[in-house]
Amino acid sequence: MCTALVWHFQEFTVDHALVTRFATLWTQAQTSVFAVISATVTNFADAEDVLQRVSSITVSKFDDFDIDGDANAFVAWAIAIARFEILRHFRDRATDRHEYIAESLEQIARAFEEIAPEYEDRREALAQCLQQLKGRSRDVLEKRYGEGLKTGVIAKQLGLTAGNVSVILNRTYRKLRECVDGRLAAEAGTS
Amino acid sequence: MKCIEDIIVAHLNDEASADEVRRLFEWIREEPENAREFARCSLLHAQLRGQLSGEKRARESGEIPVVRRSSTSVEAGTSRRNWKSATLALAACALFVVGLSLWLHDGDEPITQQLIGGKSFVTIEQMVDAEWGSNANLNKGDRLAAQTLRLRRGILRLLFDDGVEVTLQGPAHYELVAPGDTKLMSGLLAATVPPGAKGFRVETPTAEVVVLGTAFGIALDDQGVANVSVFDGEVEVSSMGNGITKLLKEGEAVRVTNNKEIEPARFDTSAYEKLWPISSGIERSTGAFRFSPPWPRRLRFVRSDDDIFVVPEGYVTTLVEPLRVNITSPGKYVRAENLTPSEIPAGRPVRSFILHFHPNHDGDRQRFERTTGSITFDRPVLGLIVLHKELAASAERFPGRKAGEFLEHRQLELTGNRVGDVITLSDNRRTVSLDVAAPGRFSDLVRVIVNASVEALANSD
Repeated sequence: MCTALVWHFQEFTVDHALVTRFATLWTQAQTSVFAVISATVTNFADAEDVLQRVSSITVSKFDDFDIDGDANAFVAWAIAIARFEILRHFRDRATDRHEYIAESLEQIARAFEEIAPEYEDRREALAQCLQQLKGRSRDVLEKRYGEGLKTGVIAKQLGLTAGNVSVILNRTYRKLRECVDGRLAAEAGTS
Repeated sequence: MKCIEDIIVAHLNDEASADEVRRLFEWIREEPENAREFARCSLLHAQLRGQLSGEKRARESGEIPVVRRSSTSVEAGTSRRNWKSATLALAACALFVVGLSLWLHDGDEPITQQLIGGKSFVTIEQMVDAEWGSNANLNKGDRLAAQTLRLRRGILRLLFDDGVEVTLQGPAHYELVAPGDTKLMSGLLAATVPPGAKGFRVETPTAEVVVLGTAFGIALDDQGVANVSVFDGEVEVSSMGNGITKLLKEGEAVRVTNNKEIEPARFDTSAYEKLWPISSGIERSTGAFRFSPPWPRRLRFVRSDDDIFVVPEGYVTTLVEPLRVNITSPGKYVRAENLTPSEIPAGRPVRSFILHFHPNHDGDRQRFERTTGSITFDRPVLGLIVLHKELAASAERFPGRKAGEFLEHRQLELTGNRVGDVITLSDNRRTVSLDVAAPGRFSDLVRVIVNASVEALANSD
């Protein structure tokens, strides 16, 4: 039963302040890091595996991070680690996508840093837009994003074809994007 | 041809073709604004995942202050190095496992089988060292209607007609009330409820457990107090009499006391260790085989220089498309060219197991571990997957435990620089024997596809 790790638990001691510092930084950075990962590693389970590796590495290399650095510095540092782990993921799987994803990864990471100031506004706008979403669109979205199910599985559960589910997802995604952009534009216009 | 926006959505949903992905990434490189547009779409995707999975977790866990995976009592501390080890260990193991001794009923009650009659809805799938009361003469394969089962000792596995599997460890007193409706009056119970069989209910003296598609266990103490643990999915636990209901999810446990209170309990799977092999359809094993616990999820953390871990992969599943396997005929295999590849046709109910020999010497290319053993399933093996290509191709077909099937060095070495790996499928197709070596960073991985039909069980003796 995870024997080595359980033994480990019996031996360790903890610096609570350091744990708290790391936990705070990681909590703030996690969505950004996951966004970069899931932009390229599109299977949720794999993306979450990569995220887990990045979190483990950031823990193990936390000595290398300036403890007084701010949240933005931590996000940039964690994204740099994520880039290596994304490349490692594709290299391990020996896919033909490795090369051109590798070529684009720097631009993608830079783009995420550029839109970082929009993160919080977009998150709040999305939360409001989601409240308006009802019925089947909401069901499909919850299964896809809440439960991480693939379209084929969702189709089976809801008695639809995989094509139907893809269309619903696509349409809902566009609606949400328009809603989020619309809200941000309206707020920019009133401010 | 799809527009770029459609391709982005398809890509983020893991449904874009290789050509579409290539086109997308070329477009991203064309202009910085393209990259920002892609980043905004990806951000929406990640925020949707964060928001909706967070809502789901909140719905599930918001009602109940159970012991969380990240919570533990630790000594206030000293070294920076040690906290990192601890945090890593927490992240890896995903829960804090501590000893919890469960007092199991050990009485010597009169044991009877009380036949109530009516339509049968349960089949006895497996019995190991089972000892019944004086009037009972139940055997493997028997069909059961509503009745009370009193098991003095041993282990019993029951299959309900809707696919629910219940495994009991004696001494146990269990009542089959109706399809989907049962009572545990004493003993230890583990159950798996496959998708589509929701609503399965177990009543105990203090609690009612309603299952929402899951694997869970109930241990009753001599006072009838129920400890409920969830191994996978979620269950709804109600206190008998006062209507308090809590939702429990994977890795959580509660204790329902005689005062009708639902208290947080530490999640501990050790009480169920004897049950799991039987509940998974493993009849026996010899040599190095060892049943892997459900935790940790990631198999890369389950390592041993001596043991071959046996890991069930999720629930019984019906193949929706043919499955390519490397070995389909009984025999002894040492070379890839002698394998007997074929396809298991779609429509077959199957259960998948991973056999994994993964020594502890990552990076030390000088070390060379060898081990042997055999494992017998309660139903015939339909096929064995032993080579990298088919292991990787079949990985997504079975839910559960990532075992690194996408790494080329995780397979049997039957080609190229062979190291003497040998795999044998017995004539009755139920026993798989391994004699394997894992040099350096290599590990040996086999996926076993077992026929999960009830007919296969009946014909397996």
